[in-house]
Amino acid sequence: MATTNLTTNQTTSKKGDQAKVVGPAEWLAARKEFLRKEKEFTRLRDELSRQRRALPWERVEKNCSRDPGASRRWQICLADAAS
Amino acid sequence: MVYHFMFGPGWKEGCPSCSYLADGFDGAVVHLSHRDVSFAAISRATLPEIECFKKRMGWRFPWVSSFANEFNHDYHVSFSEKDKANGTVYYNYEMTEFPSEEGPGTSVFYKNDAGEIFHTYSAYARGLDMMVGTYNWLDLAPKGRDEDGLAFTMAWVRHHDKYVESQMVDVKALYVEPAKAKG
Repeated sequence: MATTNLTTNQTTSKKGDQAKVVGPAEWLAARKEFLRKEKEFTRLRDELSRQRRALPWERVEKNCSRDPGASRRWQICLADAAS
Repeated sequence: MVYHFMFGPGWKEGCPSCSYLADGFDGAVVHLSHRDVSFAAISRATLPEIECFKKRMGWRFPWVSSFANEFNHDYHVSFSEKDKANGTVYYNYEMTEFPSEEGPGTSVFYKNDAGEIFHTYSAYARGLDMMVGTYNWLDLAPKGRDEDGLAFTMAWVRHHDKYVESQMVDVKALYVEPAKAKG
């Protein structure tokens, strides 16, 4: 392993990148503009979650087996874990 | 709900990246149980292996073993020797190269009043991003996740009991599955 591949865990890529420093009014204006994007993202995430809940289900057939072998162990796993 | 935790039979410890996620499980489990949701992690390691590692990490969440069955294979997070011999495995709904015999994922099941069980959802790879609590904090920090220079983004992650001062990261390192236990 070449030592040139090693970097400290505290900074693995960007070396002290700094954004523009501004006064309070400009800081607040930029923050509020970005808040609009964040709210849009939150709304989209809620919508994505709604669509996820509307996805079709599949029956877990393996679990329905009364075979006392391997699939029963599987059943125990599911009985413990299923919500 | 289950989290498919990458911990194969014979490994000396569970996967560091899964452990990074799992550090957030205990806080969630108690609240989930009051919203009609039960949670368990499941791994292909044996129960004694799981219990030993769980004790080391100080976790309390339910964690079961699928050592004796095909559960993790069925949900495409454990790969057979035959899969690996072919060079690619079925993961995240496509054939892909994968660096381990186990993969991370989460699967959701619903049990109705009649006791019937349904599989409603499974997510893998970056579909698990939301469950990585520390990443959600890092995303707010000036340097973000700070992983752009890394060949494997989680190369910096260690088990929470393994970080040392002046930790070094190999930027070229790819994912390496935990070593087999000796003996």
